[in-house]
Amino acid sequence: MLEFFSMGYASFVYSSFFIFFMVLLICTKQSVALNKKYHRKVKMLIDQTDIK
Amino acid sequence: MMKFIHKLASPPHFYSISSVLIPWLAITGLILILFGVVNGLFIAPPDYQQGDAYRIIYVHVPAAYISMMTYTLMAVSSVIALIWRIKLANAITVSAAPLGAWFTFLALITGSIWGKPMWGTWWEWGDPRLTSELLMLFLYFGYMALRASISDEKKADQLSSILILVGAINVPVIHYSVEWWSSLHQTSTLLKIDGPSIATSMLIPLLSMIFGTTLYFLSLLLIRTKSEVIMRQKSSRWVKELLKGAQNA
Repeated sequence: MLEFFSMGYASFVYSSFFIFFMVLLICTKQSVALNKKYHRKVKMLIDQTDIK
Repeated sequence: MMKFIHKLASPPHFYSISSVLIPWLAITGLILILFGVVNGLFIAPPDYQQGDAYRIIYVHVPAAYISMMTYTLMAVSSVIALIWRIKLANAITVSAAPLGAWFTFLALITGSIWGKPMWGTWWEWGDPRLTSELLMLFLYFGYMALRASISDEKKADQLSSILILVGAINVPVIHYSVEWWSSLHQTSTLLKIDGPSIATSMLIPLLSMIFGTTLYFLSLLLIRTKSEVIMRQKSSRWVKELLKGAQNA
């Protein structure tokens, strides 16, 4: 465990990896949210035209 | 061949193929990333000059590579959309832009974090690699802002595609900047005529990270493109059938 933090430039290395995973997480969340939003929107439009 | 390409580019066919591919790309990508992280952080030896700080390449290189690859992909799909008017090409360009911007941001941030211990500075305005990469981030922003400002979809597609093509000149500039001009940034380690100048124990996690991140990126791109396709094709019969089928299931 101590070795984990005693790596040279540990703060630089680990913060880079942390930011990398944060960006992956943000991209995933945004993509999934967009997918849900567009599907819901199109479904609503189709339902509206069906009622008419 | 052309028949296959046309079939692949048809929205319903693309939708069903991408639905199958997304989980496979995401899972394989994550496994490769996990392998790359464990090997890159804990198994690969420290560099004789840079010590452990070099380990930042395991996140910086994939991000920088994807930022350029995405812009190239957008330029190619813009050409296809402008010349052959294939609808899917526009959907790909629109979907790739936010992802490209995020990976460019990631490349700049991780590069900056690497720069501080190695060059003694977070940022150097006179450096061609750094400034051309920053310019690419602004090109992504410009593309998204231009698209958002035009309400007519067809016009937005055409004008923003032209912007992408004008900005494409920046991609080779980024890649060759370290050879053309004097730069703080080191020259290419992987893409060399006489083979990569990096030890195998360091190379394997790097390749794993590059392939893993690319596969994961592709899964996200397919999710976004699928959504864009369904939105653009909302009045078509196949979308109605698809969504009604999903509702009844």
